[in-house]
Amino acid sequence: MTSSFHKPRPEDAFLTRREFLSRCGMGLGSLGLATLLAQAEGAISRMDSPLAPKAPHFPGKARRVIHIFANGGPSQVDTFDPKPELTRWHGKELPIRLKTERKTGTAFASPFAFQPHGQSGIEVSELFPHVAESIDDIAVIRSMQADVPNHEPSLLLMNCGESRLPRPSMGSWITYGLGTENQNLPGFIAMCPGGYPIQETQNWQSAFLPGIFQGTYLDTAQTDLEKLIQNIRNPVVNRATQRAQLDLLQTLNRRHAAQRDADPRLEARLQSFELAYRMQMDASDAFDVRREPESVRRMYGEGTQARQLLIARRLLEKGVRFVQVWHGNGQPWDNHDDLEVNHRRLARECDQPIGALLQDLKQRGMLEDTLVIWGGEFGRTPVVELPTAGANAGKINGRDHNHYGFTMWLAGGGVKGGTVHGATDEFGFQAAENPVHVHDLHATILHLLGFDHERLTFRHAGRDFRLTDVHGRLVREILA
Amino acid sequence: MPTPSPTRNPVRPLPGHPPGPRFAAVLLAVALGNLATGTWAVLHAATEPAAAGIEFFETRVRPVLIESCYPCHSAESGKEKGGLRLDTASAILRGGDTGPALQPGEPDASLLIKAIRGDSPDLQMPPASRGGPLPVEQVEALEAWVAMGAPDPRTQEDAAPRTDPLEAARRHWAFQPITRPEAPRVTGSDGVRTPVDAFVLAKLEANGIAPAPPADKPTLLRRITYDLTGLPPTWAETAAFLRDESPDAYERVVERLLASPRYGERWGRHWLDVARYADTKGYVFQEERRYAYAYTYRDYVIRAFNEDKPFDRFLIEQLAADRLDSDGDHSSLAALGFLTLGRRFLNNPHDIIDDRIDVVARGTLALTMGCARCHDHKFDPIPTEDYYALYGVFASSEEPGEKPLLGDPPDSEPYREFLAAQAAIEAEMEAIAVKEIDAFITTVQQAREEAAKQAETAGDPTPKALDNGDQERLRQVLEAEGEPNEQVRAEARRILSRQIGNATVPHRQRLEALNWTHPGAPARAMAMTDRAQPADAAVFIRGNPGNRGATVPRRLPAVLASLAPEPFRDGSGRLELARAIASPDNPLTARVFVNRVWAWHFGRPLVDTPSDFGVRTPAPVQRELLDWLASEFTAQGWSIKTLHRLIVLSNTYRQSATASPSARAADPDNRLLHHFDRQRLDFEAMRDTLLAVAGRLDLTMGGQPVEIDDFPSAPRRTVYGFIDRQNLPGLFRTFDLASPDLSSPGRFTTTVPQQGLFFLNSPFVLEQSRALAARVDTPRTKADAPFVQALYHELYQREPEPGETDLATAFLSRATDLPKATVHPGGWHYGYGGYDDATERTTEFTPMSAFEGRRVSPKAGFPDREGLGYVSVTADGGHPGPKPGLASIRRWEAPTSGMVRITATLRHPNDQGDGVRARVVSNHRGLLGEWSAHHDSVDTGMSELAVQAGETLDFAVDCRASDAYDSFQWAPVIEYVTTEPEGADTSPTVWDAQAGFASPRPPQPPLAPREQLAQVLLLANELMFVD
Repeated sequence: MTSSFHKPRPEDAFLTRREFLSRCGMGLGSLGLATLLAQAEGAISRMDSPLAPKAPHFPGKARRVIHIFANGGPSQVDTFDPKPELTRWHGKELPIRLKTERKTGTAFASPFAFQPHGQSGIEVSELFPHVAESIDDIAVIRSMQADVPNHEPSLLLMNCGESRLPRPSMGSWITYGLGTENQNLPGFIAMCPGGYPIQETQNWQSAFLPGIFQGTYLDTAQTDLEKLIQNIRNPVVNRATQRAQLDLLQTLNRRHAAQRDADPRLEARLQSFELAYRMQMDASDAFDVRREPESVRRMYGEGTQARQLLIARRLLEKGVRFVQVWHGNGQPWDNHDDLEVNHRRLARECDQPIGALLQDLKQRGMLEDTLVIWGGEFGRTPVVELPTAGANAGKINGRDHNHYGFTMWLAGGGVKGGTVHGATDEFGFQAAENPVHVHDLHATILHLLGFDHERLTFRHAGRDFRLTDVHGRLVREILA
Repeated sequence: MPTPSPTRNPVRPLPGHPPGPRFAAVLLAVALGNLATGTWAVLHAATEPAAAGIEFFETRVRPVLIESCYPCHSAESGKEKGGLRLDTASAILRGGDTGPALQPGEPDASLLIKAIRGDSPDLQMPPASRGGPLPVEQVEALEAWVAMGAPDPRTQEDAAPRTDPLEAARRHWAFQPITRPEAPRVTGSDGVRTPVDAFVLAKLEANGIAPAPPADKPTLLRRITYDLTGLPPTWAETAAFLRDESPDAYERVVERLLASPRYGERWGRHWLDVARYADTKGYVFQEERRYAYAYTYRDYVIRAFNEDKPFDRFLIEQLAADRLDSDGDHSSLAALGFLTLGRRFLNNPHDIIDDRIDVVARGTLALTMGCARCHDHKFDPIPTEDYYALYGVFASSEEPGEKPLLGDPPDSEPYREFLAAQAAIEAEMEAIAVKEIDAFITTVQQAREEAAKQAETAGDPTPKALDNGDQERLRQVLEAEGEPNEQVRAEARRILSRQIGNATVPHRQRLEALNWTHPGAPARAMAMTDRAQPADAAVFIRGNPGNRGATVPRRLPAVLASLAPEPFRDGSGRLELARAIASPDNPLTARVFVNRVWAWHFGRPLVDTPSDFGVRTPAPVQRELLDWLASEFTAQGWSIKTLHRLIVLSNTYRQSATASPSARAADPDNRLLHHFDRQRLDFEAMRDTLLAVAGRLDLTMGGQPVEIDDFPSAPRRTVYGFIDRQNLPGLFRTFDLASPDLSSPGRFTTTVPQQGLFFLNSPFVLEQSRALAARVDTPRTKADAPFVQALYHELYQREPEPGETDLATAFLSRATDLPKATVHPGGWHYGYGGYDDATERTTEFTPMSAFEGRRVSPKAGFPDREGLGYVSVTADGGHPGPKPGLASIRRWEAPTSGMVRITATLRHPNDQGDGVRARVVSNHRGLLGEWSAHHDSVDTGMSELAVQAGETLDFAVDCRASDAYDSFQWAPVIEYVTTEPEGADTSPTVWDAQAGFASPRPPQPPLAPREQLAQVLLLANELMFVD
């Protein structure tokens, strides 16, 4: 029986770095050592603490991620993918017909004006003037593709790389691979004001990875810390008393341990109480945006989006590895009708805060190693949606789902700013040049963080699973 | 001596197993600093010397060779281009026509490396036709491998052409028939109590390791009680066991515990991990999520363990109870929940079947069939056809529309009420349907008349078709029938079926919910039956249902074919499948289960991957022991309780948890079982223990699941808690509950600060601390020392050591001396009242308690008809009472002393009426501000205000002359700028009226010193770990 055939995993990691070298019979300086070492070291620290910071396969440009999820599916032709040809065809049957989820009709010109921004001159619609100010830091991918025009599978695909079966989410994979910088806060946080998006907590599930890698959900419509983090406060014991309790507890625990063999689990539990004690302070601080200077708060503006993006920045700054920020519960961007009114409202809610976030990160020097991702689970059709009884009856002013081609953008950590990658056809219906599948996006995101997406794996049910399953192609064109 | 037994059974450092089992992967989620390095380092001392190199070969080199070189240079491909094969260690050294392919240790001198580097133009591999040069990292990996001496485990693969994978697999240890190894003879035969010991001692002796001495009696009692029941022993049980000096005292304890109903609750829960048990379907859009009857499966499992149902029968019932001769007893139908209570994947049938194949294959056989859904298994002898052979079995089975009753419903009052409640909802639904139908018929009749009129005007007497298709459909029936009779109504019902369905969604949800909310709801089985027309399935090529390949007969996986070589003929084939799985000749079933049982006893399995016994899983160190247990298990009629006895009565099980230094040095990983591995309480045992020692555990068995995530949570055993697989509560995740999505091979054990927060702050733990303190607070424990003693009895079943009593009593006297806890309930209260100008105080503050969404008013029924009118407080404002002087009051109580800042804007939005008056009134210092607003807003902020703990600030609003149009908005935010003493309190520093708008919790008194002590002792490692 040969040794098993798999990639390094946490439980393999009982070698110290020195032992790894001596066992392999190598001195420093051998070819290819850098990559090997990174791997070995990454693995070693994993065992000490699955959430402790660890090195990826190679030095990544990005160290943390914020994924701003425009759930419901924002329309590409109304935001970042201008299509003058669509205006010319407005009201006419398009020469291409693609099967859509619901019945669709003639070309529907964007009601929004586009204009070039920044040095790069990338065109952005009037919906996102603040984001447009940072366009030279942004790589726009106009040729995204998903598999089907339905929310549920597309959300799971975007988040977990698989449309149906329980698989770990991207944030879980990344915290599994990188750990997190601040042990007093969760490593992976998912924020959604007012409830869950469609498919709910599956969007940040850890599936077969240990539960600690699952996203911690925060309802950012809440401002009360106790509703944000379970058990963060003690209603009946004050701090001085709790300290006295902990001192006694630790004395008893040490006596208990002293009577036994050295057992790291005993010590670990003892330490976890000290962390919990400190967390009570740190967490209050992280979520309290009132601690931000007035100028910063003004930059982000008013409203829930502003507040949650500002909280997100504070969390990233404090060392949280992956923050996912959803626009709202359900599917707010899903504008099957009244698209103009609704897209305008939604963009007004989030444009200023997202623009502020980009500038704020930049001013703090954080943008260079923070990866910012924006997009939905798919885009929308360039053709108008036809009325359906019980849905958008009486209105012919919205767009249907579109997985054939849509736009996402990335900024910061290792991303080549001021870039447009890929293109849809002349109407914005289908990715035509350099299509980028969601798997490819995942491969690229992992690369930016220092991972070879084929090697970040976890053995489950007899197989080494990965975020990109058996797919994924690196989009080199958007790398800085 | 790094390796105890390098020749026979190399002790490998946690080899290739998934990180699933808690046994090995103790994941420490806290920063341990330098501590961890030192302690974990011991674990690798037993590594095979070349393991790292082999590991490197397997992970970095072999995949490249297979992918890029084997196509032209291997026995498998039948090609040896250039006379070179690269698929065995010797072939690669032998080389090809141009000489040896590599020089170990010298990459630069190795032809293989030169070729892949493309150093010379006439030797570049792989050739362009095969994809051209390798990626740089692959080249580097091969260079590094040669540099480290080219370690290569492929020594047995020399046998030239590869044999049939199935043939090769049959040689795999786990697929071989279970033999019954002789218990080895050992020198220290007095150490042998059951044959288990003989196997363990033989290995220990061969390695010169002595077993640990027996654990002391209290430790052993605590260990076995937790192990068999998931609960701690009581002080009385411990005392009795200590007194009992008879030779079979321990045996009698084991019998007592095995006979306890608590046993089934503990061991049933273990099996529920394998069965991926949950009470919900997962995400199913609008459909009701809850499984009304999952609990009947859970209760079946618990009962089966308690009754010691033979394991073969247990399995057969779970796969095919519907096909067994029930003799009028339907209770075993509940067993089919094993198949049916998985996730529902938006009702995608392929995924549902996949889930069922997985739970059967991994759960009972430790075969990872899932891979074969899309392609032949890469390693194991599981071709795609095997998967679809089972797919056909499950596709030929269905869930009956009406789930069978478990026993006859009792002819009782609650049951009759249940039926009446059902009928009432059904009547409501019918009323809706009738209304819709009537309305539709009327519409169509009118449309018809309208059309007829128009036709008449146009001079065309023939009846006109209606534009609307649905209406036209009905019109035609109307024309034919002449009047809206029953036929017409039936047609209307058909046409409207979807509409009626939509209109009655809430009714159907209520109807469904009756099944778990109504006390008279009868229990039903989540059953399965065979379809009338069972059929074989076609292979879905690459797992794509749209791309069908050959049809596969329903049958056993090929690797087990010898058990039943013929295709299944009996219905779906589930019963035949079940019988083959539960056959004593099945090489996997008994081994797999015995291994799981071992893990549940020892905290760690004999085979590291309990749900994967495939060819990549090496034979365990204790292979003979595993086989002996498996054969004994089947020989003893698959009795699980007999199996427990074989294990827990052994000396091996009774060893102390302390290893001798020499044993630890020789076998740091304890693979040879020279001591008992300490275990941490899992989630269920932890929660049940807290309730038990607090004297609050409710031992009611079975029935509908209870909420245990909320507070107050039902004090039932945790196994009865409601498990929502879609949104698993944070508490469950924090404490490593097995994922309810997939059959679980074992639990993780993580240590994270969120667990610490739960123990320190959760209302649940605080409640148990109070209950525990109250429980031991008796006349006998007036003094602190006896109180401490009583706590130690209850919690740890032992006397406190003098030092411990001193520590505890010192804590109590210090806690009493500490400045009186500054905890005030603090926060928001709501009421109405008046104001006295002379004293500048609120008068007659009367609390309001009728919460309705975002508003609180004096009593239910709003507005109040008895003089209080619209007086209320809402999240962001409120409404004053009907006359001046009757104010709506939002009261804030300062939890601590300090300096606060108040941010608030009073808005009166309406342009009608005469506006409102607002005051801020302190109970210490009187009127702090007064404003009025009418169709405008006014800033009512205060920059610096000193408050004292317990002081109240009333935000009171009354009307002027009239209270018409007087809804107002006023939601202050109060922030502490400083607190006194600094950081003395854990209460919030920001109080936001709008965010904090909620029904106030009843004020809780601070934890008293004795309760604080009780909490500390509940949190201690001594309670949470079992030696």
